[in-house]
Amino acid sequence: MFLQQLINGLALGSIYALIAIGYSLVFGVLKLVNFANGSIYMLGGFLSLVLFNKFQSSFLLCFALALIINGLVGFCLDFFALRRLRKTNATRLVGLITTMGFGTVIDNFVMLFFSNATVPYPNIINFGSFRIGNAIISSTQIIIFLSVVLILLLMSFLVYGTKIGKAMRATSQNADAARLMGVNVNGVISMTFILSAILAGVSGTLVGMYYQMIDFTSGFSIGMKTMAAAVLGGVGSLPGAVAGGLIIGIVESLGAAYISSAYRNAFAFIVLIIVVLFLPNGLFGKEKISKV
Amino acid sequence: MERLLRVEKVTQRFGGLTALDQVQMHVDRGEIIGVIGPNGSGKSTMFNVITGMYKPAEGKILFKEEEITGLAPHVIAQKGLARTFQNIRLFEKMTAMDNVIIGMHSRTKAGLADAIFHTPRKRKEERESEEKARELLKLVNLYDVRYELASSLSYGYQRKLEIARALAVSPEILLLDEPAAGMNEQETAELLQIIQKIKKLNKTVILIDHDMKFVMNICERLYVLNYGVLIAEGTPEEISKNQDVIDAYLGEEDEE
Amino acid sequence: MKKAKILFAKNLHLVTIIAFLVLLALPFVVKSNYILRMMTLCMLYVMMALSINLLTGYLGVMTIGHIAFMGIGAYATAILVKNFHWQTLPCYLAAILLTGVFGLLLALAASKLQGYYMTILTLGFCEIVRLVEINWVDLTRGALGISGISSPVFFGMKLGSRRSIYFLMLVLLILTIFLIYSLINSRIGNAVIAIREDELAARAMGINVFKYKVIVFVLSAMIMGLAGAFYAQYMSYIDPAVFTVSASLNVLIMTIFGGLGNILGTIIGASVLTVLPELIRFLAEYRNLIYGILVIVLMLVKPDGLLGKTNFKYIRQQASVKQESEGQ
Repeated sequence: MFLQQLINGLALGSIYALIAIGYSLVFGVLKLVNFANGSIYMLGGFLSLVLFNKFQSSFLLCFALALIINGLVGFCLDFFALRRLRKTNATRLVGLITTMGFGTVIDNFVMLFFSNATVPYPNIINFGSFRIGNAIISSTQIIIFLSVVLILLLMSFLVYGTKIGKAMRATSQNADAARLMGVNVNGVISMTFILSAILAGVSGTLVGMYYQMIDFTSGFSIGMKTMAAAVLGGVGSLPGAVAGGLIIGIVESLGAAYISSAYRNAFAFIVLIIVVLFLPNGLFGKEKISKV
Repeated sequence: MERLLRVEKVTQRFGGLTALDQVQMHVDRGEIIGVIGPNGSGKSTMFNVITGMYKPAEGKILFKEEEITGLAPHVIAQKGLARTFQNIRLFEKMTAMDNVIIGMHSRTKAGLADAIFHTPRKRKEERESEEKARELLKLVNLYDVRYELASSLSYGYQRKLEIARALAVSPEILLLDEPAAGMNEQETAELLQIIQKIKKLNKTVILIDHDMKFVMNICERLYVLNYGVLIAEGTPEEISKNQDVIDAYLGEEDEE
Repeated sequence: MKKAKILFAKNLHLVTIIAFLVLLALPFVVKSNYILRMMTLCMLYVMMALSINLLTGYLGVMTIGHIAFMGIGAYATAILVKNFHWQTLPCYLAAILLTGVFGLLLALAASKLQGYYMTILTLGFCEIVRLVEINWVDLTRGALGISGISSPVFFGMKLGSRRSIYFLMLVLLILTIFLIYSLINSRIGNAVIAIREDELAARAMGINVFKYKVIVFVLSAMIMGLAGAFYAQYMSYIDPAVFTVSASLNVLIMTIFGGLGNILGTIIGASVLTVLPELIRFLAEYRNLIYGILVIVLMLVKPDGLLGKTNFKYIRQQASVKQESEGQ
């Protein structure tokens, strides 16, 4: 029972980690919480499904196409809205509300043009399940673990091993200095939005397959939980986002199993509040020395 | 003469960096004291420790023989130490007048009930505050722009407004962090006059500045910091002849 | 435009009195129940938006879960009325007290946090409160909600008609406006705005930041709680689906649309955005899509909202200086 809940929690948590990374990346370069991220996650799940239903051909191909579209949506959010705000030096609050508006638009677009009800999601890749002791790992969970590990490896290579990653890190440390050093800051920010949208899209599809259903409101609650995960880990920190995601996934599974399933969605926030009260900068966040 | 402030063996560290190392200072009532030193020598850190922004790792700060080390900044301000900031920190969306009135916060009393019931006490207090704010704005020659937003004022005006705001706290010691930075010669001369006027109000002034000429002109006694260590103290003449000080400043120019 | 603003600023008191008289006379002129209901709803949203404006606009703490306090106030009233047959006034006091305590707790927690962490804390608070509302079935009847909450009763007098409910709301709103206006135009208000502008400088000026944060959190929570208490008896039915983060965001958007830190702006913003969805009802299911697009466009075109950069007191003062110098 415990092992089973742990496995379920890890599967859920590793998906949360992927989405949380998206928050942290964007927060890193823009110091902005992207409230549309949850909606973009949901959109990604829907796109994979809709394209697959339409073409009935290779799922991977449809999946890839969905990710490309999702990346484009992320790009649009930055290019058409946030970039203009940066030019006018608007406050962060304005950026935040803009992303909320964008999220509303996505949610309602999906509701109007895809479905306004809960839709079944096919478990497309199914190769049975495996037993470990008295716990069962489903094929979807294996896919989730494998893809999350693969993506995390790719992400760390991208962020810590490539030139664009270096530009990203430079921008998140000091955007003005990075610009002076010849970094195309706007390009880096666009790239960050595309990346986080793709991560959200992967997560949306995986969760769809995992729960075998999806609906247009699902982005909101997952969005909030993963935001909590990112904050728990320390906003802006990538290892923090991964740790935060895993912790929240596990606590949620165990809490639902052993304490109360009705409060399933509350555990994320209870953990968050407790951690933040004792570690005001999250688990991995650095304490800022306030320069006077 | 009354010893107003004593800084005793204060050490402040940031991670591995020792920003202040066993610094000793004292200030007597009515003095104008200068703290000088090259960039990054710990001058502003000194101010931040005195005004409670940082809590020092070691050492004590005594104000009128009462220990104030580690007290909250607002408590220290209430006790009678007010400061300005190196990188101007005005309340930008408020007028010059309101900035100064906020400085009087700890000297006024109207509470929640006064606010809700608009008591005579509150109205009287507000009238008095405004009157005092006008005087202070006149003192720093900003009366004409009293209803302009702080953010719309020029750099030199903003520096002067910070001084007026700090004076509104009715401090016994006024700490000025690079008050002349970014000012032209004429503005600096005006600032000099303002500080003279402040001295006549029976205030004690500690100021930090880069501008050696300015500091030498106005200060009665100087402390020189370098890499967080106090390397000299004395009158302006003594300091200008001190070899350590000359070396520290020359060394900085080499780097630049 | 500028001249109009000066004229307006100079006669703000007169405008307020006229507006008040109009609102007072309205129910006797307008006979349509629909319009009265709409007006009452408008005023309720204005009250909620003012509560958020106090916290977000004046203190600068962005809250995305403030509606949780409304839920607490509404549930407290609903339960006291249904189970214990309390009259309205003690219910209101209980709602204010209870939300005040929760506001205090949140303020204590928030006092350690900065910026976004505080915002996320309000989000977490709202979600937890909502889940308690859903799951504490014995007390709240869970997702079904509480129905059949009777109309307000004051000193044995039942306020049953649309018109009397309208006047009750008007009284609550005027009390709210008066409270916030008095608070902001006082020494405390100055301190609160100073904290928003620069917390560190405020500390250096001798302002006890913690104290004022607590005052604002508690007052703002109380106003929201009172709005909730009214709401429960106004709707006669409440359920947890009303008190969600998205609903809270909606009220925040009203506040920002009107202009943060401006009471009149909040009044206009909340009124317009309450009426607007009614006006675009013909768009049916496209309504929210259009609403989202409008929000984005608004942020791009007018990020400070309608009156976010306007301070009537300052306009008055600047005008008086100009007059003086012209007179000389």
